[in-house]
Amino acid sequence: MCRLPLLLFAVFHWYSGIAAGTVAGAAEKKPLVFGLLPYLSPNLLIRTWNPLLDHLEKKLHRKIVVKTAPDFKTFIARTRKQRYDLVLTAPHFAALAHSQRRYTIICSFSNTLYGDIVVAGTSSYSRIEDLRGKTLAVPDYLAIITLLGEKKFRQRGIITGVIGRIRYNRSHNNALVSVIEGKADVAVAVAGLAKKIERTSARPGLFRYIGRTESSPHIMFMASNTLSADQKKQIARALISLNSSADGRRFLARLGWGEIRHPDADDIEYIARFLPLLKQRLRR
Amino acid sequence: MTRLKILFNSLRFKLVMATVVVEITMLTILVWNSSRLINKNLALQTVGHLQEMQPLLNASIAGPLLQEDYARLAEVLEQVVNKENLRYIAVRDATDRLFIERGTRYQKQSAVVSGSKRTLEQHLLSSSGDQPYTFSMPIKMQGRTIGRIIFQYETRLISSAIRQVRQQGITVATLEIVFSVLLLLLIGATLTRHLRELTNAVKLIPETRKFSLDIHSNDEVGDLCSAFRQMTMELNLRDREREELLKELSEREQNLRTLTENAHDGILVNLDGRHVFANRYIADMLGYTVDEIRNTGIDDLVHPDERRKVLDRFKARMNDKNPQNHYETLFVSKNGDAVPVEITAAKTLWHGRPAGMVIVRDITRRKEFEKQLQAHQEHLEELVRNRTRELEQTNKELEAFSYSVSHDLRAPLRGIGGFSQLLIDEYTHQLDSEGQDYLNRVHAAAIHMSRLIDDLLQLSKITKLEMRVKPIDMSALVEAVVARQRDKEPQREVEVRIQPGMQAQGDPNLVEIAMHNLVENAWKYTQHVEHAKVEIGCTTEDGVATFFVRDNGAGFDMDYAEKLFGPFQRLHTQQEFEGTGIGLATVARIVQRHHGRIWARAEKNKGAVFYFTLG
Repeated sequence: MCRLPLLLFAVFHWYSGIAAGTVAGAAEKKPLVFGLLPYLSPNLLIRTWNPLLDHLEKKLHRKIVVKTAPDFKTFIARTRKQRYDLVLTAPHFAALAHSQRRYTIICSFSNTLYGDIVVAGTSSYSRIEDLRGKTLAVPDYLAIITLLGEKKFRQRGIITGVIGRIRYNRSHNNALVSVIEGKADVAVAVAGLAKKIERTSARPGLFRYIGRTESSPHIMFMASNTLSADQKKQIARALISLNSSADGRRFLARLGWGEIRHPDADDIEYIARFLPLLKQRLRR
Repeated sequence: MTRLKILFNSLRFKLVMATVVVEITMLTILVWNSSRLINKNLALQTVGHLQEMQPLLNASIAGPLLQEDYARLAEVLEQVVNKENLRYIAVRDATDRLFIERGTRYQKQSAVVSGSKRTLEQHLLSSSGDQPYTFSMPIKMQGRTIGRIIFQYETRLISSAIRQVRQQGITVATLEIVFSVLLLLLIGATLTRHLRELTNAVKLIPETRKFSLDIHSNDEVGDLCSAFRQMTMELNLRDREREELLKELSEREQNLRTLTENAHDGILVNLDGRHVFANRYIADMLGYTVDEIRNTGIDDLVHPDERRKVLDRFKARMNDKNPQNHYETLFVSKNGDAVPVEITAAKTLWHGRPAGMVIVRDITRRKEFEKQLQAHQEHLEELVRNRTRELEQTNKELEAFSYSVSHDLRAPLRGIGGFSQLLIDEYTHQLDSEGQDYLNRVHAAAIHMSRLIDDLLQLSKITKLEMRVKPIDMSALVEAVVARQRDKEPQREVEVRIQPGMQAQGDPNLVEIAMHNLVENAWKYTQHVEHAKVEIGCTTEDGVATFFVRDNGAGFDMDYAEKLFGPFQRLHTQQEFEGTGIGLATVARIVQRHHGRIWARAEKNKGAVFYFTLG
C-alpha cells in the first residue's frame, strides 16, 4: 500500500531529471550573445573584434551573436537587463554591473588605461595650471577617460564643478579635433590617440602634451550570472588562450591593450571609486 | 462495330491522329517554352532588382541592427516597403528573433526560401504563383552574419501576365488543331476516295488482268495509278512469257521422256536408296518390267562382288565428295546372270530432293570383243618376239661377218698399200707417166679402202658397245674435240664458237665420237671458205635440249637431206671433198642408241646446221 506513492515519486524524479538535462543541453546549443562596448562605429567594432569572436566560437563550439548599443547609456541599461551573456565593457561599467550582481568579471587586459592631456601645437599653454577657466574637451560624459580627465583637473582645482567649461564629444577623436579647431583649449583622450592622428595625418607637432591622467584598469570581460560557473570558467579559459595562439598574439598586438588576464581584486576596488559619479551621471 | 474498326484502321484516321498528336506536342512545347522564357526573364529581372537592393539595405540595416537601434531601423524599412511590389519587409537578428517588420505580411505563406532566380521561377510556375513570393537574404557585417532580412514580393502581376500568355497560347493552339484536323479530313477524304477506287480496281486485276482506272492526278495517287497500270501490263507480259516457257518446258519434257524411253542405254534414278525411275532399256537389259525395277534398290541390281564399291560411291556422291563418276561394274539380271556394264553417275534433283542418276550401258559385247582382241594381240606379240629373235640372230651373224671380213681384209690391204708406197718411193722413175698414174691410183684406192674399213669397224663397234650413261660437260668435251681437230690441221684458220656451260646425259665415249664426226665434217666442208666459222651450241626445241653444229661451208641441197645419214651416202664427189660416207651414219647410230633424234638444215654454198638430241 505504501510502495505505490514512492514508485510514482521515483518515476517523477527520473522524468524531471531527463527533462532538466534536455533543457540544459538545449541551452548549451543556444548562441552566446556578446555585447560589445560601443566605443567605435558598429562596422569598426566588428572589424576590430572579429578575430576574438572567431577564436571564441572555435574554442567554445558555440555560435557567437554580436550586439552593441547606440550609446554608452543604452549599453549600460541593456547590460543591467542582462541582455548579453558575455560583455566587453569599460572598467567602471563593469564595476557597476558587478555591484548589481548581474555579471561576474572574468577577464581583463594587462595594460592600464589612462588619458593624454594635450593642447594645440600652436598654443602657448605649457602647464595644466595655465588652463584655469579654459574649455576642456573630453569624450562621452560616461567614458572612463572623461572621468579620469575631470578628476585630474578637479584635483588641481581647475575645475570647480562648473560643468559649463567642459565640452563633451561623441568620441575621443572628436575631443582632439575640438582643440585643433579652436572649440576647446585642452583635450583629454585615450593615451596614444593624439600621436596616432599626427602620424596618420602626417602633421607632426599638431598637439603638444602637457600631462596625463592617472591610470585605471583596462577594458573588462564579464559573464552573465545566468551562466553556470563552469561555463564562465570555460569562457575565461577560451579568452586567456588567445595569448598563446599566433593569431591571438597578432590580434592583441594590433589592439595594443596587452594580454588578457584574470581580474585582480584591487582593480574592482580601485574602479569602485568612480561608481557614485557614474551613477549620478546616469541619473541625468 | 466493323465499320468503326475499319475507320480506326484507315489511313485517313491515322493521318489525322498523327497530325493531332504532333501538333499538340509541338504547340505544348511552344506555349510551355514561351511561358518559361517570360517567367525566366521576369524572375531574373525581379531577382536582379532584389540583388541590387541587397548591398544598400545591408549597409543601411547592419549598423542599426547590431546596435539594436529600433528607431533607425524603422526609418530605413519604411522608406523601402510598399515600393517596387515589395509589400512586406522584416528583420530578424542572428538568433532569428523578429526584430522589426513593416508592411502587410501574407500569412498563408509558410515556406521561406532563400533567394535565387530558380526558386522564384519555380514559385511563378507553381499553383501558388499568385501569392507573394517570400525572399530572404542574410545581413552581414565584416563577413559575420548578424541577422537576415525577409521580403514578401508581390508576384500577382507577373503571374497574371504568364497566365494570359498561356491562355492565349492554348486558344491559338486549339484553333490551329481544329483547322488542321478539318483540313486533313478534307484532304484525307479526297485522298482515300482515290485510294478506294484504286483498291477496287486492283482487286479486279487477278480476275481480268486489266487495270481500267484512270485517275488524272499529278500526286502520289496518280503515280500509284500509273504504277499499277504498268504493273498490269508487265503482269500480262509475264503471263505470256510464262505460258511460252511452260509450253517450251512441256516440249522439252516430252523430248526428254522420248529420249529416255528410247535411249540405247539404261537410265535409273535412285532416291534414298530406292529406284524411283527406270527406262524400258534397263528393264529389258536386266529382265525386269519397268514397274518391277522401280521398286528395287542398289542391292537388287548390282552384283554382290561390286555392291560395296557401288554403294560407297553412291553415298560419296550424295555427300558432294566427287567420287569416280564413270566406271565399269557388274549388274545382275533377274535370273541371276552377271551383266557387265559401264555406268555414268551424277547427282540430280528428284521433286526437289537430292537423288542419284545413273546411265547404264551394257558392255557384254564389248567385253567379248576385248577378249578376242586380247587374244589377237597376244598372238601378234608372240610373232613379233619370234621375229625379233630371228633378226637379232641374223644381225649378230651379220655383224660378226662384217667384222671378220673387215678385219681379214685389212691385212691384204695393208700389203697393197705398203707395197704400192714402196713402188712409188723406189721405182717411180722406172715407170712412164701412165704407169705412175696407175700406181698412184692403186695406192690411193688402198688408202681409201683402209679408211672405209676403219669406219665400218667403228660403226660396227658402236653398235656393240655397252652404254654407260652419265652426266657430260658438253662444253669441255667439244673444246677437247676442237683442240684435237686444230692439232690435226694446224694450217687451217677456223673461227670456232663454243657455247659455255652445256650439259648432257649420255655415254661420254659415244657422244665424243659423234661430236668428233660432226666437228670434222664442219672442218672439212669449210676448207674452201675464206673465213671459216664453226659454232657449237645448245638450244631448246619442244622442251628438249638440242645440240647443234653450225658451219658456213659448202652446205647441201635439202632435197637430198634424207640420204644424209645412210652409210656410204655422199652428196659431194670425192674430188670436191674426201670421205667415206660413214661419219654421219655413225653419228646417227650413236644418237639412235641414246633414243635421240638427228636432223639437218642447209643451203647449198651457204653452210649447214646439224641438230641432235640425246633422248
